[in-house]
Amino acid sequence: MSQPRDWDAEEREALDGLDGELAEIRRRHQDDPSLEMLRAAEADALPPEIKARVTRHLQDSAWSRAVVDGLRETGADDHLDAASEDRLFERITRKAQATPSRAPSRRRWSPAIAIGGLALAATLLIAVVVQRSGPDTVVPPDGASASIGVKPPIVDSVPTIRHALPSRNPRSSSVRRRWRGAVMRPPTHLCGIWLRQSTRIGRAIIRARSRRSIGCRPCIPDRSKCPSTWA
Amino acid sequence: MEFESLYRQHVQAVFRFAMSITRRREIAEDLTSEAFMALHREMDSIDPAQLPAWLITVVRNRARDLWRHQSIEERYAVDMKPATPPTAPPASGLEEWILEDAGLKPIHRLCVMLRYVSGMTRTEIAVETGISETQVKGHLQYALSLLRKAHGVRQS
Repeated sequence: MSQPRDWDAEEREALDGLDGELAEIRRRHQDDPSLEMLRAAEADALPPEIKARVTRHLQDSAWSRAVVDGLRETGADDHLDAASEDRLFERITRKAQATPSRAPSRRRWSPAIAIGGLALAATLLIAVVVQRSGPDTVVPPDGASASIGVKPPIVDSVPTIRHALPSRNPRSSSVRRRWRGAVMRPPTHLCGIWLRQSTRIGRAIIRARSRRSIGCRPCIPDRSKCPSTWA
Repeated sequence: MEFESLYRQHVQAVFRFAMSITRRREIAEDLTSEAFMALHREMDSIDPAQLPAWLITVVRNRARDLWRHQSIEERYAVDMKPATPPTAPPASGLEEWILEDAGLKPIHRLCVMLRYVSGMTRTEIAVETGISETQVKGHLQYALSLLRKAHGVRQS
């Protein structure tokens, strides 16, 4: 803080007799926001809650508005010299190398995401094709109806599909275990398992429909043709 | 475009903005550094046409974080009392002169305020404003010459 004794002769002479007024002005503005706060408010670099209060203050205080006006005319000469610019660049690149970049991570995952998308599309396609290929497309063997001699019973498709699926509990299946284990594996591995699983379900649906069309009862899982002894 | 060329192209503008917020060179360098670190991380997704506005936004957000996290809000709560208490007397003649004299430019007013009200030395004003000490002295001399005239008119 400079005091009147810090003033030169010209300042003393110009401000002679104004000590009381200066003291009053100091007292009136001693609680005003600091320069750094006004500067940050001007640059919109304050958190909203603080900025709102400073803005309200500025609306009421011509003194602080004059300070801000003056601050706008400062700082035009601020710059980094060449040495500082190089030093800062070195510091940034050193830190950047120490910190893993996000972009390569995205690049590493994008093929896996693409493969996953393809697998999903393939699964949906299989499901649609299987859904449309019903009893019309599966032709029963010529001798089947003659040898049985009765009209094949209509079997509800839901229980057929349920029986056609593997009887093992899927929660404890090897596939399930591999799914759990695959959390730490590359995502391409996950997609492979998913594709195999989808294909397996699709095949099971096809087998079920084949059996229904030829009048087979779902006696033996995982077999699309009836054994000759049963017929 | 390579990171280094983007850095060379925009570093001065970003640093100048950081200085306009803080007036502390080391903090301004930190803010600038953090902005370019963010650019380095996001190089693949940033359109160079968005620069330097994108970098300046990073600096602004980091500055807000500084205000939040460095307990400045508590200081603010203590510092930020009503500027003009209801019982305060109206502005004195000298205050009116500082605020309203048509001959004074904003930078003159600022130098007068910092020197004779805030009590700063010329060196401190130079640091705060980013202008040279010689310029500060020149602005003060000019303001005092106007004050002398106004004071003489008031006394007569």
